Amino acid sequence: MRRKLLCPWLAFQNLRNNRRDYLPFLGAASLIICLFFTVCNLSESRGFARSIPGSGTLHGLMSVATLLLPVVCAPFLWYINSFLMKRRKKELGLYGVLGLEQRHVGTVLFFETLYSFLFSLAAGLGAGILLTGLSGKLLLGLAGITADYTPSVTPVALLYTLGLFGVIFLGCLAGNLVHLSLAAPTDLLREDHSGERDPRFGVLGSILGLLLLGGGYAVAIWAYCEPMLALLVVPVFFLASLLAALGTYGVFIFGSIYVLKALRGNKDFYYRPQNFVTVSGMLHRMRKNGAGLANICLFSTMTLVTLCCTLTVAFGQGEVMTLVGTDYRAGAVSLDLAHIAPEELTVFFGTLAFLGIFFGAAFLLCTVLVMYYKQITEGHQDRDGFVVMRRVGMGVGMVRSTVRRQVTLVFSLPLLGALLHLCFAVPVLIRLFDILCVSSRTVLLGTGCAVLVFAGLYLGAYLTTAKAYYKIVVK
Amino acid sequence: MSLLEVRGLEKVYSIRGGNRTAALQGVSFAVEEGEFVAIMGESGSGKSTLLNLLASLDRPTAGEVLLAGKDLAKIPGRRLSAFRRDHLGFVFQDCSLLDTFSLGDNILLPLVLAKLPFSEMGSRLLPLAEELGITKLLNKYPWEVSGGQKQRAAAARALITRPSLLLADEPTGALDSRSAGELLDIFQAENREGQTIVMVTHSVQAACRAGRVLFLQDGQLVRELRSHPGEDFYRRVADGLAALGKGVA
Repeated sequence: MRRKLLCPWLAFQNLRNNRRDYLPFLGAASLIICLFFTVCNLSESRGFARSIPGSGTLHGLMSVATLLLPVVCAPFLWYINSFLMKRRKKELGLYGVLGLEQRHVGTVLFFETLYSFLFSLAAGLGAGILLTGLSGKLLLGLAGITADYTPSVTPVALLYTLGLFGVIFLGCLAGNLVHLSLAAPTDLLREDHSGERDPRFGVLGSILGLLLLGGGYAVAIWAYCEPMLALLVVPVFFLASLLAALGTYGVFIFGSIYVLKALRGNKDFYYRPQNFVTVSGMLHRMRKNGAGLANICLFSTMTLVTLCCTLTVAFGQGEVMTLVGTDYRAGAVSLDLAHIAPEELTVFFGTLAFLGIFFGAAFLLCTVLVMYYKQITEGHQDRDGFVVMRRVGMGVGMVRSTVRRQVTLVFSLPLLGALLHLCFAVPVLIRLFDILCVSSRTVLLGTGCAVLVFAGLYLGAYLTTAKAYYKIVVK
Repeated sequence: MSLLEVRGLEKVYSIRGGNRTAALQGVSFAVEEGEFVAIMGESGSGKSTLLNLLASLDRPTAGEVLLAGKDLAKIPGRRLSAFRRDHLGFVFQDCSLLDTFSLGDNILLPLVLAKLPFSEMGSRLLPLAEELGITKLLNKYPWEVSGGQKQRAAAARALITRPSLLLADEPTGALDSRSAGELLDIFQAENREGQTIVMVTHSVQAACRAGRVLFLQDGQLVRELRSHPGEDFYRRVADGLAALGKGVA
């Protein structure tokens, strides 16, 4: 092997050997690229804009979407990338021991990132370009427009996609390089025990978390009860979300440890086979990465709210169309249905539904993936522990039930948190949809369906992950 | 009746491609109650295979292992872990302590799995911890203490179930000589109290603490030495091991 080619070759081998870990990441990146390109392409497409009445609304909404989608998805990709890196710490440490200098390892990481980028770009853009026609038709169909339009690929959209995801992957690479340069080979090889003590300011953190959460919920209820706030419903919604999100972190990171330590303090409860392993395992996990579950909880909430809005828009369109031309007014501020063109309204609702589907898919994918990676990472960490427990006399049946219990707990806590958040988000959504003259009954119907859809997909992800986790732990 | 009886033990590994390697062939010996036996051999001599068979972690190709007259191979799989928990204690080279538990909880793990009431656990843990000199460390986590302290906790975990047989696999392998000496002191003290111990090792320092040393070479028992009071057992074990290397055993 020529020396010059060693680094690119090593990078390729690494990706190939770690393909089980990397394929879901690459798949997700491809899909996000595909979604972004599709939305961007439609938004930038001139032909599209010309052929649609009320295209101003469409273009405006789509532009907001092209801005929002990367804001949400970039951290996801970054987060998953850091998961992958953590799993490979030993491997990188070994390189150092074998005599590769840090800049060589850096070069290997560069090529790995480059390959990942090219792969997801090719797959994502390829799918996006192939599906251009289909996505255009879907949007037109949802917007109820029969226009003579042949969708085409806009170079600007290609450039945007290339630039944006180039930056995101560069960010991942930078993170990896910083991670690498901060650690000496021996640090990388050693087991990481940092952050396994109780966090400082635990009581304060728990109380603050509960207060913030309560504050967020209170703002939500206030927005529902005070019709005058309707003018400000969007900023109020953001305020409530922000408070609740911060509160969620507080409760998950600090509160969980207090609850678990209380459980551990109850000797008769703690020193029973199932509780013993589960409580100590959870405590260890929350100390190490309490933010992980909070992230999943917030991702789930976001997905649920998006699904909820999408379905409400879809269900509500017909309802509102029947009211067009009448002197109907839902709340203090709402659409003036008497003076609105029905076409414009259709385009508006259609575009919202279209974007909702795309965002819902992106959020759902990210949530499921983060959950999967979290469990897989933890499975690898837990494996040695289960080997020891089997040696000391834990039967296969007990291993199975312990694993099931642990995975169920990790999955259900964020889901329960997300459902609680949703309960307080719905009143605000009702006020929000007042503006569009959609009734609260429709919002509730949309919420119900959204919860069903989400719970179904979540259950599927749970079963798949539990199986993968069990396989790692037992074999 | 001996506590442990091994008769004609054989273990053959089939490698892909049809090659068969005999890790153990025709190994027979007995361990009386209250004995401290060391099994010595080079790496690859079949020591670990033998210990795994004694521990019922693996099944022999032929022959039998009887613990207190009970054939390990005849215990059904679902009862095996309970049997192991009740009759055997293990000390491994790598301590095998769990990072998720404090040392105290690590030691209690087998009792928790055996569903003992908590009051009973405490009354067993404290005197044992005192004996092993780890009372002050019970609330520490494994990564906060030294290798020797970890290994003493692992020994406590093995002893707390009051097993009929303590199995140790290279227990001093990862320890510095002082910690190794301390651990072996503990083994000898437990043995004087009546604990039966079988230890696999390649360290002469460790093996000469036993009352009897069995030498294993290429999967066969080739020699046996018994210590006599007042003699330089270290020297004899060292010579025995050296003889193995020359192939004149």
